[in-house]
Amino acid sequence: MVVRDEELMLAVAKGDLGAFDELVLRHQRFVWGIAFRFLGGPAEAEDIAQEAFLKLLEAAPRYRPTAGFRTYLYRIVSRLCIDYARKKRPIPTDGLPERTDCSPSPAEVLVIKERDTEIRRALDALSSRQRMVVILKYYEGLRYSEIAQAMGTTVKAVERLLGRARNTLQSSLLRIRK
Amino acid sequence: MRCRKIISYLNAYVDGELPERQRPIVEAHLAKCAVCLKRLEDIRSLEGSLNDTLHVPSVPDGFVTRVMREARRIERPEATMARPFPPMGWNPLRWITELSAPMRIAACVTMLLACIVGLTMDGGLILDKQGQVSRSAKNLHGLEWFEPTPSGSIGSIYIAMAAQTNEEGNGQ
Repeated sequence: MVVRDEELMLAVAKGDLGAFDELVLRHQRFVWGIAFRFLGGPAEAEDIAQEAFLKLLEAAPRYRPTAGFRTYLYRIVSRLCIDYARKKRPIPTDGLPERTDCSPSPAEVLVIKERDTEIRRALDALSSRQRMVVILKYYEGLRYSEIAQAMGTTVKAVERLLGRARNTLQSSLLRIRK
Repeated sequence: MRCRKIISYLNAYVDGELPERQRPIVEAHLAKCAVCLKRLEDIRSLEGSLNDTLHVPSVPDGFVTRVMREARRIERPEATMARPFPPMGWNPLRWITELSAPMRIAACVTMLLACIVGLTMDGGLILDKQGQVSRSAKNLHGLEWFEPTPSGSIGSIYIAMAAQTNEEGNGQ
């Protein structure tokens, strides 16, 4: 039987590092993914992902299973990313990694890379909170209420942030593509 | 309903977050307003632009190991932090208590053998049968480097001191 994340977290609170190891294994891809999409650089993303897990370990004694574990982790990662972006700007856009999941032709690779760079630049033009809302909505597929919980805000505020982010993204993409 | 109000609903409408009772109002307006319909299409096309972009590479190798190493350091700092000074009650022979039983026996036997060899040789490695410093010992100590030495040189003083030490040793 698979042990639930919430149960593992309670074990971590009692000092069980084996349970923590299991949580890191289960969620490393998801935490890394958010940090990478938000920050755009692998070194920064790894730092934030690592810090997120260490924050999780530190917060374990205060964790109450009333909140879903995933939401709890979303909140830690999004807060770290936003704080990081506020302290440090701009984010690199040249070092985007090559895609390795398929074997497109060199011309296709170029098109894909150009498209990723355009999106990256447009995302970087957003405020850190707007960027996080876009990532959680479009790439993580969260609902407004889940985004609100992850970012410690209201559903209405998420709707407003997303509306403004969409307007800015559209005008940025238009400008970049001209 | 005015366009401005409808536009404020469009994001929630596209995302399926608009309450059921408001959806028909928005749809009725969109059916007759080209401006709001264009705005809706823009929002939808943005979703198309973002889809299949910003691909995430694999998690870096050794990520979990690095996280766990830091976690252990935080949870048990005394196990990984180097101590600048010996702690109170420091025991220089503690290392022997940390060895396994066969290794402890081997260490004791080695030390015992070293003591026996040292005692039984009694200077035999250095002095020959006449009690003089043997040629091999001279070689061993590098004394041959000073022979022949000019009088008054550091080498001659060194040889004189070595000879004096030998005589004292023989006299005892």
